[in-house]
Amino acid sequence: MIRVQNVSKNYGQRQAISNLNFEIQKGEIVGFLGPNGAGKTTTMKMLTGFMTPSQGKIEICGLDIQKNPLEVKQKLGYLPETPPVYFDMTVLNYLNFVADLKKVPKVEKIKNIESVLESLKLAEVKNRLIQNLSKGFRQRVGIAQALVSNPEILILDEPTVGLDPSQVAEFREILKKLKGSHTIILSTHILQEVQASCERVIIINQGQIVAENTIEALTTMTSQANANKESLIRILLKVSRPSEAFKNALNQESYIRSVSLNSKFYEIMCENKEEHFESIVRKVLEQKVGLQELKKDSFLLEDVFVKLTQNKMETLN
Amino acid sequence: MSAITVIFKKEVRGFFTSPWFLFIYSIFSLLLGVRFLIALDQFIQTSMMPKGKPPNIHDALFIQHLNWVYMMFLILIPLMAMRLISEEKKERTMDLLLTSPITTLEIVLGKFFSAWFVATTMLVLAFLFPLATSLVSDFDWGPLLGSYIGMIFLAGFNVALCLMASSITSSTVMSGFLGFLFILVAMIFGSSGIQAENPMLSSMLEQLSLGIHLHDFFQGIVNLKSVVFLVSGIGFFCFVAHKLIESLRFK
Repeated sequence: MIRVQNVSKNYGQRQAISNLNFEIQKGEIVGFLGPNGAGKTTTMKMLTGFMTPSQGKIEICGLDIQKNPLEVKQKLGYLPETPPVYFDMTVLNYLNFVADLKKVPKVEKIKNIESVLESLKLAEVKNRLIQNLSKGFRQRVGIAQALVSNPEILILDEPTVGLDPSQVAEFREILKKLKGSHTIILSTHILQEVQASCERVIIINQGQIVAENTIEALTTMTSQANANKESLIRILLKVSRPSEAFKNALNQESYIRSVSLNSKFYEIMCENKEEHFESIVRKVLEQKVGLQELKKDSFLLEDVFVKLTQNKMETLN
Repeated sequence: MSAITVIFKKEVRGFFTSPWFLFIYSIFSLLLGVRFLIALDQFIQTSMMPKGKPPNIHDALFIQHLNWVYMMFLILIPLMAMRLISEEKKERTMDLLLTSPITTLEIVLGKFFSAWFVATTMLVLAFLFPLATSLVSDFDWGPLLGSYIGMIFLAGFNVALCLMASSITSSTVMSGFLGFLFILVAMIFGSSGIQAENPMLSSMLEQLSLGIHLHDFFQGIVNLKSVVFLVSGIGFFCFVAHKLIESLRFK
């Protein structure tokens, strides 16, 4: 569906993107992750045909975006970082204008506008000027604009910025509905967003892909990498009466490698065996320090992200 | 609906629903009326004078009036056209236009025709005054129509200049100022004040002068040379605007 081959982009002397390669299949929802300034927006802009790559080739639905820009753009819905809305237009007029720009046939246009107004809960403000809407509403108008032509491919650059938590949840529902029928690229640095909606992530740092896989594969890989060869796990423990004596008592256990006290939690590294977990519980109760919380620390996408974007050149996969 | 029409309709609607534009538009029509009354008064007074030849109504009244419109265009057209491209860049709505299945040329032409159309409606408004005069007076329509046709082309020329200015910068104020400056330069360029030593250069400058072409039109002469000059100017400025917008893709 989308194929990016050896794409680079230079801004004068600075290379923003170097030698990017990836493929996205039809119906996939892919998260595009990276710290600020990693080249996410530049990549999005090249995928939409807004920008021309300095080198390389982008194919969308088998069409080269350089050679057939109009055909490709007709298949795309794009929400840029700043929603591209005209403040002096009403929501309805604006969506009509966008649908006309995207050359949506008239019958379909009316149907599509009605459906996006409903799914994004914009019906009540449809006759208001966009300049009088709150930031969250403007963002939703931006999303509506990307959806109004019912495009095969949706490219969303930080779509949930400015939305309140319930709107974010609603937005995830919309994404779920679109899943399968649409190919979606979601650029964001909100990791929960990716974890909730995407099947696959591409992590980019300093203009290069540092990881590309499913979320599960990435988290497993990192947890294994973190746990060394002996397979250690990290246990977080919170007690109401922390003391040096308790810490020493823990340290005496043979299966515990290290204990350290953070602001709230004891961080215990121990061998990864079920019985050890149980022994720790017994130990804590014996010491009568007031057990509040005890949990195995699972490695989340956040760890993957931090690890990959800090160790710049280290590439997983 | 072609993409040019889509953009054209959106822009024209934008002009006529903007309170600021309507305010300026009404001030313009008020000034037109007041100015015509003053010119009419002067014309009647000079015609009453017993001595000498009675003045020609075309030169003494209509051209005076049209000259006044032209002076107002010096301010109004930059005001109208300044936001056409620069605001799209500033508000990032250019992202929408450049990722839509339309060409940059269609964007430029849609914008150009919309502002040209609005300027033409102003000329139609100005034309109402001679039209009303025709109820009470007989005159030769030829020079009058010629003058207005010329003015329509001149307005197009100025709109294209300002459209080009608007694509240079993303600051609306700056683009308005540049547009004003460009029109001013085009107006005085090669005007009778500038005399080159070389007669060939002198005649070249004369051909590039808006003043000369304007003078011809005001005499009721619609010559092909003037029309070709203005239309190629429009084409050139739209082309430059097109290239400037395209350059965004490489920045």
